[in-house]
Amino acid sequence: MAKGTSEVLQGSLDLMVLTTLDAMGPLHGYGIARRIEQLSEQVLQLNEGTVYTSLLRLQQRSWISSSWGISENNRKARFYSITKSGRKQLASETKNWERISGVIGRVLLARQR
Amino acid sequence: MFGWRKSFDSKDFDDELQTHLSLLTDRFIRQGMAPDDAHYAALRQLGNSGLLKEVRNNMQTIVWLETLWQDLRYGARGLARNKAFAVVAILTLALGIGANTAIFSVVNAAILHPLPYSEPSSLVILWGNVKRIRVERRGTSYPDFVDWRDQSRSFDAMAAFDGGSFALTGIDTPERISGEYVSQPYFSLLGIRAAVGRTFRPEEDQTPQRDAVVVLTDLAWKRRFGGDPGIVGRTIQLDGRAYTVIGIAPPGFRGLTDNAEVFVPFVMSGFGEDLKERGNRWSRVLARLKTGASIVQAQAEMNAIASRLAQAYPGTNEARGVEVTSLEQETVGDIRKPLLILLAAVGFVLLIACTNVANLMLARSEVRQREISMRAALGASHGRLLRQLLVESAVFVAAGCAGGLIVAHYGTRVLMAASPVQYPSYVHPRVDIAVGAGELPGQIAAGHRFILGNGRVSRYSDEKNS
Repeated sequence: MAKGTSEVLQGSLDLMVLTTLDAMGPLHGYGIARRIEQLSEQVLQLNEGTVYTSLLRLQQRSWISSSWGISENNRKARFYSITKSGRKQLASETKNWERISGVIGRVLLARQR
Repeated sequence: MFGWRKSFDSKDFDDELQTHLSLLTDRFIRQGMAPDDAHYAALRQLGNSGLLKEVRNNMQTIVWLETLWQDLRYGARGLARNKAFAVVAILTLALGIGANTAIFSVVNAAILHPLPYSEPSSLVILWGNVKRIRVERRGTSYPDFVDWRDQSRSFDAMAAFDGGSFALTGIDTPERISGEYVSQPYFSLLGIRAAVGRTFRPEEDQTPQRDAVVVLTDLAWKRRFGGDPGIVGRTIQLDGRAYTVIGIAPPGFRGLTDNAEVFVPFVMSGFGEDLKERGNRWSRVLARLKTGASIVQAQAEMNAIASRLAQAYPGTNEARGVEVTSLEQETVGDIRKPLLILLAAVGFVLLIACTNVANLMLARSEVRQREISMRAALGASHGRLLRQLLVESAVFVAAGCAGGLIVAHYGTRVLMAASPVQYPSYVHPRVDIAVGAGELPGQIAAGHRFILGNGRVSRYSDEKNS
C-alpha cells in the first residue's frame, strides 16, 4: 500500500466495507460507497476510489467474493458478498475495535480531567 | 497471493470503474447538475483511477511476469546495441555448446543405445584362435562349429556366419556384391524377421549345395530389383547359379558384417569335402548365452571343449582355442574409447568457452557501472538488479543454445563423415529432444557461470555505492 496512509484508517474502511456487506448482502462498489456515505451522515467525505482498494484487499484475503451482475442503470457491475471467513474476521475485528475504542476513549477522557 | 484466485483482467476493472462513474453521474444529474458538470464531479469523487489501477496491478502476481518480459526485452536491446560483443560472446557459446551436443549425439547413438537386436546383451561372438607367440584370432571350421554347438551347454543357440562376395548376374548391370553365408538360426538369434516372405528353414541348412535359396536385404531389393513386390518366389543368378528368393530382410539390417546385400545358407559356402575339412577355418560364430550364464562361464566351457578337440584331432586342433566376446564389444568396442575421449575434450572446450564469455561480461561490466549505479540510486533493490542481470544472462545463454543446436546439427554430420573409425550403419545420430535434455545440465552450468560473473558485478556496484 502507498506509504502515508494510516493503517488505522485503512483498517477501519475495510471494517466498514465488511460490515456493510454483512448487513446488506451482495452490493457493487457504488452501492457500498452510498451506504457508507449514508451511515456516516456525510461526515466521512469519501474518496470513493479507496473503496476499491479496500475491496481488492479484502478479496485478496478471501474475506469477500465477487460475481458479475447488472447495475440499476443496466451496466455490467461486479457484486461483492462476504464469505464465511470474512464473517469470522468481522466478528473478531468488531470485538477488537470495541476493545481498542474503549481504551482510547478512556485515555482521552483521563486527559480532560 | 493464493487468495487471489479470480484473477480478472484489467478491462474488467475498467468496466467496473466506468459503471461506478456512470452511476455517480446519473445521481448528480438527478440532483440537478448539468450533464458535463455531473461527469466532472463524478470523476472528482471517484478520485485517481489511474492510481487505483496501479494498486490493483501490483497486487497481482502477473506483475512479476511483466517485469520479466521487460528485462528480456531490455536484455535483447542491450545485445543489439553492442553487436560486436554480442556476436563474439554468442558465437563462443554456440561453438562450445554445439561441439558438445554434436559429440554427445554421436555417443548417444553409438554407445548409449543398445544394439538394434533382440536382447543384445546376451549375444556373443565366438572366435577360433591359435596360440603362436601371441594368441591370434582365426576363424573356425565347419566341423569345429558343429562340435562347439553340439557339446556346449552355455548357449541357447549358435550360428556360423561369414561374409562372402557374389557375382550377381541376370540383371541389367551385373555386379559383384557382398553377402553373408549364415546358419539357419542366425536371424532368430538376432531377432530379425523377414519383412516379406520368410528366412531359412532348418532343413535348408543341412546338405551342402542342395538348397539354393536367398534372403535379400531391403537395400538390395530396392537397389537391384527396383523394390519389385513379386520378387519373392522368383530366382536370381548368384555366381552363375539360380537362387530362389524366399524373403526380404527388414530395412536397415545388413547383417553382422554390416555390408551384406544377400544371405544364403551356410552350407552353400562350400562342397561336401570343404565343409568336412577341420583345418579349413574361416567363419565366425554368433551365439546367445543361456539365461543366467556369463561370458566367463561360457569361456571356461569352451576352453574345455577346445582341449578335448585338440586331443582328438591333434593334426588340426593343436594349440587351437576359442574366444568368447560380447557382440557389443565386437560392434562398438573400437569406437568407444576415442568417442569418450572426444566427449571429455569438448567438455573442457565448453568450460573454456564459458569462462571466456564470463570474462567478456566482466569486462563489459566496467562500462555498465554507471547504469547499475544509476538504477541503484533510483531505488532498484539488490534483488531487482540481480534479476535484471540474470535475465540478461539468460538471453545470452538462450541465444548461445540456439546457435549451439545449429552448430550441432551440422557438426554431427561432419563428425560422422570425417571420422577415422567406421560406425555401424545403424548409427544415425540426431540432435533431438533426448539429446538436448542430456545436454541441459551442461547448458545450465554454462548459464550459472554467467550468474557468478554477474553476481560479482552487482556486489562490486554495491561497494562502489557505499
